[in-house]
Amino acid sequence: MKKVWVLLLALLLALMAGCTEETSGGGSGPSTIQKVLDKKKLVIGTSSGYTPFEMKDKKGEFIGYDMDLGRAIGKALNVKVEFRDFEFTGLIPALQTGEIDMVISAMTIRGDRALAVSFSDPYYTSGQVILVPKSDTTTKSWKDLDQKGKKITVSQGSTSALLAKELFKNAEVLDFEGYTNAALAVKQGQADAVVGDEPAVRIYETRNSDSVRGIYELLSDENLGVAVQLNDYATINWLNSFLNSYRNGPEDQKAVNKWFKSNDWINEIQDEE
Amino acid sequence: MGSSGWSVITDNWGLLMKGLLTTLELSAFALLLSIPVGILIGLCRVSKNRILSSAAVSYVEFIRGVPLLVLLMWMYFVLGRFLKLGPFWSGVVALGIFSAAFIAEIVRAGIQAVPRGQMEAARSSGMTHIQAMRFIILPQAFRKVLPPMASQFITLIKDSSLVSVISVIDLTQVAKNLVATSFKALEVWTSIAIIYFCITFLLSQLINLLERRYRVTE
Repeated sequence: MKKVWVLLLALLLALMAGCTEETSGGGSGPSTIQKVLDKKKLVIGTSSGYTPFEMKDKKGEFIGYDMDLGRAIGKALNVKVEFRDFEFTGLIPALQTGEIDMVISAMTIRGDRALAVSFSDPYYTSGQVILVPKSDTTTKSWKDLDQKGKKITVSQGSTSALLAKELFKNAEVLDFEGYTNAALAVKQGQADAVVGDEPAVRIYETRNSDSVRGIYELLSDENLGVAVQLNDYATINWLNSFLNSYRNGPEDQKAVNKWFKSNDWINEIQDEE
Repeated sequence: MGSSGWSVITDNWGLLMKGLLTTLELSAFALLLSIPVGILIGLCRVSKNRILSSAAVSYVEFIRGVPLLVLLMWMYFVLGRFLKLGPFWSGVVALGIFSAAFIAEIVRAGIQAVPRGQMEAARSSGMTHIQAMRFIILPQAFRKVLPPMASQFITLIKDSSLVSVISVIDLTQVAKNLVATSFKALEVWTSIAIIYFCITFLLSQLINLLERRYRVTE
């Protein structure tokens, strides 16, 4: 029995000692952009289920505003693009361990995240709003809901979650896996509001207009960026140059019109009901 | 970065312990629910009454055939919606009925492992069926089911980590939130693994003790 303990302890210590250095990630070795060009493949991590940024169509293909951006990046580099689906909280760890080359998942640029990964310049700007059950006809602002006993749902690890925990001092903030589950709890009347990016909330309202309504008072500005390994300056530099021509260019405008200004794409995705 | 990454654990120790408390509470309530339900269903399973035994078989087969994650989602988003159970109690009920199916099987195996002659001897010495069950069969079965029961309790504690998907703030949920804000996946998940291990190891030692006590009398 004693031997087993010593062995276990030694194993743990070795694990701790060996791994602490690695987590700071990136910075050294060839840049991601060079590796992507060499292996002729770009692996993008995303967390699908966040309309209209990232979702899967009826055939299981990734579609959405972020996917269009990812494919445009692949086209510019002349490499194959592969999307991999993670839980939102798993994206940064996957990037740190090099399992994916970059994250495009409606990720807001924030100081705390930038200590773990580095961001490109913003490729889209949106804001946070709330969605309440239709049966709630009185709420006009998030402030009306900041009371004891109120339940606010969020997608775990998202900026909505971070923001809600800062803003709501009295209401309880509940973490769900993904925006879809967080919004579902509100739709069912099991919670009082969900916080999410304005485009996602608008689409959820369109699709569930009989049970929920959005309140379009902006809680914050959200600048979305592409995340790469910490201090991978060569890749950030290239992405910024790319975005300078892509943002508001013809391809981007086409994507904005398709995903944000119309609802035609809704037939492309699986129906939730 | 050096060893500073581990400060995420020490800085948030209070949060982690609160999460652990929720994990333990949730597991304890689920256990309290699953033991009587499991024993009852296990007894029905070996009952000579056709209706009782086939009801018990259906319960075991159905619950055992559905993944716990699905059962949790169903309990919260489908049933919980009408019963207004809330995340914590949805989790307790889902875990409880899930675990009960396995306990029922353990109980059945334990009873069936007692040699048939024991029942015959008890009956021929004038005991009723119920008396024979109560004084002869069940005490022997109890000893036989202790080891598999112990693994079931440990499984229950580990399975409780799934309740984070329905927003219960258990140990795993605290860990997910810490990873989401600190991005120290390795440090957080390693520590969480150790904490779970300490709890389950303690439990299995306790059950070992109990087992040894009953073995002495044999």
